[in-house]
Amino acid sequence: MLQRLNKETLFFDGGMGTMLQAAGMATGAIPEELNIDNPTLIASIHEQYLNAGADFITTNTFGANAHKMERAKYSNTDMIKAAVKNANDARIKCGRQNDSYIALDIGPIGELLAPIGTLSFDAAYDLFKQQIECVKDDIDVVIFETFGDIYELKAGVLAAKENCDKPVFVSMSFDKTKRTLTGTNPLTYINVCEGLHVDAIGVNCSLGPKELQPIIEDLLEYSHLPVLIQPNAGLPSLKDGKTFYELKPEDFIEALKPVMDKGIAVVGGCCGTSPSFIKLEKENFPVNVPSRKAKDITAVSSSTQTTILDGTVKVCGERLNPTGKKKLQAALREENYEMLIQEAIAQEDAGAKILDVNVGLPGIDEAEVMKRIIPMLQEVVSVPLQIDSSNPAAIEAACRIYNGKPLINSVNGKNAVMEAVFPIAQKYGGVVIGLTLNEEIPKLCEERIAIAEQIIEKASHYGLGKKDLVIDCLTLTVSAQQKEAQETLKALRKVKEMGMNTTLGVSNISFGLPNRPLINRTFLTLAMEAGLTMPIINPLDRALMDCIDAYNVIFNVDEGCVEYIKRQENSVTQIVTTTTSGTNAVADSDNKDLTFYICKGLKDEVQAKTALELETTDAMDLVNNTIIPALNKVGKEYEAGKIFLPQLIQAAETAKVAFAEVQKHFEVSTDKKGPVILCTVEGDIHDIGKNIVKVVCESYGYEVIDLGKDVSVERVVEGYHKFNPKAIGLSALMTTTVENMKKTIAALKADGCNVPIWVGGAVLTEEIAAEINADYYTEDAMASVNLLKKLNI
Amino acid sequence: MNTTELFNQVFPVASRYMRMDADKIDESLHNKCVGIFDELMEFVVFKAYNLHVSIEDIYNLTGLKPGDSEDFDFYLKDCKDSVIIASTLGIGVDNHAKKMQRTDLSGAVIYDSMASALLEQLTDNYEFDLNLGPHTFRFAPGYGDIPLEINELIIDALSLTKRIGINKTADHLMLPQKSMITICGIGKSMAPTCGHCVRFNSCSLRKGNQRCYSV
Repeated sequence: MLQRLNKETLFFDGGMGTMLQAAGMATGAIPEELNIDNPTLIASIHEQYLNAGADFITTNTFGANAHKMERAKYSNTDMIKAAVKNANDARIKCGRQNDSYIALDIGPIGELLAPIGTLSFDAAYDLFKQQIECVKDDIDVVIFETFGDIYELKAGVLAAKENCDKPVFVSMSFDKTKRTLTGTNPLTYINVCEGLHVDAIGVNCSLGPKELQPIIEDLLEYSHLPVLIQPNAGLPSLKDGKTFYELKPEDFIEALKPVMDKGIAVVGGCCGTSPSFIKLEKENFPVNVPSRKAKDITAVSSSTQTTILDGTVKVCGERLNPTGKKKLQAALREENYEMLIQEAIAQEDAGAKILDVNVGLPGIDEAEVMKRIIPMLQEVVSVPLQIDSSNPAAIEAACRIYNGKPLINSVNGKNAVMEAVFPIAQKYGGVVIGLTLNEEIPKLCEERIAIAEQIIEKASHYGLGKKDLVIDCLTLTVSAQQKEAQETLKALRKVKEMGMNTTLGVSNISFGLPNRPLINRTFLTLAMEAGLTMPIINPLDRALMDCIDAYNVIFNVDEGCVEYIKRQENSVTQIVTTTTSGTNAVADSDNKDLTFYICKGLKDEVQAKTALELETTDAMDLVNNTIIPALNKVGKEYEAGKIFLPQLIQAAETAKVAFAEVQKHFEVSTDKKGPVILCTVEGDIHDIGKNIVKVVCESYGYEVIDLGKDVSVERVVEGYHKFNPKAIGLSALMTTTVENMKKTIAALKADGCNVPIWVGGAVLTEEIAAEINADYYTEDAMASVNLLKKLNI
Repeated sequence: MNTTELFNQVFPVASRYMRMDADKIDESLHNKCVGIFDELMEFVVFKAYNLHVSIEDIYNLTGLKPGDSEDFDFYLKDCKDSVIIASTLGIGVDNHAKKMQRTDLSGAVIYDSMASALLEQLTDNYEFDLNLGPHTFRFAPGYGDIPLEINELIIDALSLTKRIGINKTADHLMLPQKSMITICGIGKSMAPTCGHCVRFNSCSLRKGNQRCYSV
């Protein structure tokens, strides 16, 4: 089949559900049961499609994963085996054993993967693996279709490739905004699936041929893989409670014609299509696939964003790296990842297009930490990540769990390193940074270019081309190796001439010199002019980012100076706003004390105000006589209904910033209270209530160990032993997860937990709390603080 | 309907969810709510689907038999038909909420309440356009003694994952979080009530003579 693919136009079948409904299947019935209950019906549908001219028949197994089939009367694997047999029987009956193919159909599991949902990546992988393994020798191709989540699709493709040697086709569904249900756009989809080396990439369902055209054109423009399309028979409409599709076969064919001349390799149909549609396709569409040339781009992706390294400057944020950062090192050792997450958000908001992630520290299991931190980061930032490690096991763990196609930092000219890292990039997809060094950094430009060429050559053995590489010409420190700085600039020019992207850790240039920012800015500007396309810098350094804005204006990248004016004008506007807006709290605050700042929740301004107060006030006095009384005032006003929940939280967050400033300036011990553990129980992903309690407790000086959401019973018990808390707070929103709360409490008590356990959440009451053996119930965050105070914690 | 009109409809309900007294909200908080609503609207991709189902079929589809759920029986008694209405604001709303909880928790609370109220409002508008004639209020699995588990049967039966992107979790919850699966009985009128709510005795809104729904 692979010999025919992308040469001859091949034809898939049309809708299976449509045919089953036409045969009288009731709403709510499980279609997969018919593989065993009515094999004649299923085989006859396959026969009709084969006789219409289909080359591929799709097994009736769309929903046949173990989770979805829990309520079916047969095991999912029995139904899958029967489905494949039905397809094969039809093929034999039609005499098409040698020129038609059985496609094992796999649809979405129906549950979203963590961190959006609760299903783990590994659990999704196992479900797909089970579906494939049971028939892997009896099928010709695996097709994953109607997927809305690229992460789930990645789990499926890996399961297929690691457990079966048959080709893998993928097909996602998009809406009119050109996004899948979880927000993936066509370019991201292509970039990720090309990296995973599927055999054909396509689009199906949701829309008709006309509406799908813009998405199909993106596939044809960017995909180097054969393109597969299976549109619906137009848009659905509901009449008398039944779904109808608007297009007749002739209209469907007419609507598809514009794209069929542009290089479609495989075509079929989805909902609303029947054998008559496929017959007309076969009669009307080109026999051979028209040739096309897809664009070559260097691009990395998250699940929703693709950053194209197209020769213009794209910043990679450098701050998720513990080197030289004591606080971050301590946080990583304590498994407190909040600081990393905040840094990631700040860098993205400051304009970074890629974020470097390095968690290398002695004594840390880097692979394990990567597996934990990558999903946590991807939950809150949209830009692609750069996996930065010298440990191949950590790189592989990160690439596997990563949602998208990452940048990998890095290989160098050593064969052993390339032989360890390139196979990972080849398997999972990834763009790799090549450092132009061997045992040491060569001094001369020519030596570095020679290493770059070695890297390019070696990469080609793994199917990785120039577009899959970014070259790091290496920044040397001018205070130690002044002459070599120019060699870096020369090397950048050479690599640019080779048509490749380049990266540099810019700030290395200025170590050991006074006024480092001046050297950094100057070097960055020169490097960009020489061909640097991906500086690895601190995007929160506004002066450096301004250099890039100015460079983009001078080199006509920012046409019409649009971005430059927007950013520079904004900074001027902000100053004007804060000095002229007579009515807002910020302007009012000039002559007010710290209490006012906290009560009004002036979070962005409170740090400077606290620092100012500390010039004349003792740190402990400020805490005891200003900050805590301010919080008490806010708490009382909230309880009296004078202010409301958003204002209470804003004040609590503001007080936290003030506390942090006090600690920073004076290194005082503000004797944290607690610790207390907080979490949302297993199965529950609603964590806003728990987060409110956390912030308010922290503002009152409690150390809160936040175990997160959907926390298993075992992890809570483990946390109790590990952190030795003075109290444990459990949250649940739904009635169904209150049961898990009960189990958690039972497990804690069975394990000898003797600290108070308090519970809260939308469905909880005093009575339910008592029923599930909680020690206390609190209605809201303030009540939680009051409880902890009452318990002298 | 433009964003301002929609805000004016949604804000009173969202305020109730936040236990805020609209008369006591200062200008600064009100402006913050307006800004956050605009932000929310950037992420909303509202999708809805409905299916008319006979009374016999709604029992078959949900796996319930008369007598299994008093509330289900009560709402559908004397109805000639039913309609299932499913709706969602899309996963983009959830994703942005997570980021907001990290950067501005106060804003995240407003955002969350606004999103809940918006889903109700947009579903009200969708239901209105269906011209259902006399019908009960929209009741949902989880109300009173109606098992939450039937959500997943409806998700599968109506292919809601494929059609509008509603997924289930192992604990019978729905994703995106701002999603609803509801049922209206057709042929008799019945206004919303909290008589069957699990928080009937403990609801602070009810104690303050308010309701979480519009009356």
